[in-house]
Amino acid sequence: MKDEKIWELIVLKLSGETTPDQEAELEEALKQRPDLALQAGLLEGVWSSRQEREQPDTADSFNRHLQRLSNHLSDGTLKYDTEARSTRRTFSLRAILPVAIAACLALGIILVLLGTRKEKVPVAAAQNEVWTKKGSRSKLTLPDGTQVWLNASSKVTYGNDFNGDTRKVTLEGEAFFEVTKRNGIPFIIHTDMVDVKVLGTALNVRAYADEKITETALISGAVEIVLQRNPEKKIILRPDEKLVVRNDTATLTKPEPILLLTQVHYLDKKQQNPPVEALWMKNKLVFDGETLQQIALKLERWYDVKVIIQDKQLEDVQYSGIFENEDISEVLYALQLTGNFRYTIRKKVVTIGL
Amino acid sequence: MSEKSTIADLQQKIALYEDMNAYRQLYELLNERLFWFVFSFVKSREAAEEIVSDVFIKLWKIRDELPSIRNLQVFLYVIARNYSLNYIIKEYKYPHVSLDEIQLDVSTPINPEELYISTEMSEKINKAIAELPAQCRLIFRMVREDGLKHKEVADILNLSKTTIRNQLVIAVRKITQAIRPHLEPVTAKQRYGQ
Repeated sequence: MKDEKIWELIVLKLSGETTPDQEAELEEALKQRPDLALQAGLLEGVWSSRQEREQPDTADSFNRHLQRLSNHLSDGTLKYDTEARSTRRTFSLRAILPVAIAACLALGIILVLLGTRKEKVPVAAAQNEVWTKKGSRSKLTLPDGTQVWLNASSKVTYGNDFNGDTRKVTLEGEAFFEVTKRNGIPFIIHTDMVDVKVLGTALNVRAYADEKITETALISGAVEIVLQRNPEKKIILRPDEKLVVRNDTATLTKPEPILLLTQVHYLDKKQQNPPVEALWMKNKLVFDGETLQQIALKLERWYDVKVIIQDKQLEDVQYSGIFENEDISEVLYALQLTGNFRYTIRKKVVTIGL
Repeated sequence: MSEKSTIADLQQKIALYEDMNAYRQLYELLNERLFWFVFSFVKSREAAEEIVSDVFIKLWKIRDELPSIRNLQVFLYVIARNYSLNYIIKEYKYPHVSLDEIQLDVSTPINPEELYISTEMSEKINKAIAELPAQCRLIFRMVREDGLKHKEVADILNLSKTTIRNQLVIAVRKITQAIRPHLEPVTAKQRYGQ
């Protein structure tokens, strides 16, 4: 066989494109040509030894991509796309939504900004207020039969006209709602950042003023969420979905993303227990991959204590864990087993340091 | 699941459910190779990233039409190639650009840790690859590193399958020549010893 032909077969073999016949042919030919056989062997080594190419971090790059994608959707044509004009340019809200949501994956959970809060809208005169102090949780039943579990340091407000055409409540803090279905009468939860329109449902809304995010987790039914900041934007959640909205974008230099749509987090596959987002109502204190800083806030509310983190480097360390009926010293003891910190508890002040 | 069926699966999820997760997975799977493919034309990291991003934006825009695309990977490479050429025309005001005229910058490092390739040898191999004609080098890389079939590379680069094979023969022969001196001292010694 001619060299040229052998080389062609070698190339086909390297590329994984030989037929069994060709493979046999090559094998036969190389028996006659040990010199080429040696080279073919070496080439195989060269071929299969790929080096990882230097590459910008994919997650970062995807986030930058999403940013460009969301910018693009409001803008129009692609710079280097010559066929752009022939393709559709208008986008329905439905089309944009996943993008906007995905755009949030970008900065999503890394919500690093704390800022000043909007003034609360003054409420009308005839109001009912139910609130919990730090360290306590409560449950109430609204006039329509809706059950509300109120987490620590939270407040639900509703007017005397609650049972009229609309059922409106205002929430500060965190609550789990099991909404009684009333055909034609929507149930609306107002928070600083979002309005949640409930269509017969169980859901958890977390809107603490001192946290960086507002979270709506849907367990069953359906809800429609309207962003206060952008009322045209309506987001419909399906069961087991969770919408996280960043509370403060004023200090952002870049335009949004401010939303993150994710799934609620079940710990057991069979989903017999409520997801992590709602475990607090079962008296369980849950940290789900949360930073010590977030945990400190939770501890302050759950146990009515003041938590001071002395060393900045400790703040961003993440912990997970579930605690039930344990006092704060047991919780801290468990956390410091995995974390590299020391703590002291004096009266109602917890100090965490290196 | 083979990579092909993974891509087909993601393609379907994006088309039918506008599945952002699938979109992300597809991006993560193909971003790197498209990046280097584009980079070999435009020779700017920023531009390459932008163009690859545009390719994926395009993908999102035409997601309704995805079911009719038979080989999504090749499709994306073709878009990437077109955008790269448009970029070059726009940015450099070249009157006419064809693939053969563009100076391609494609480096294909060989991993020296591979058992039987010494560092010295892998340097020689890398050098041989670097010295390949640009188009030859690009083809070598697309087949070897991106795992594309000859037919697919042919479609992407608008060349014939035979050209692809011939270019690969040139590439591997050049590389072999680079290795050969390592083999020869042994035979030379034997010869002198006789």
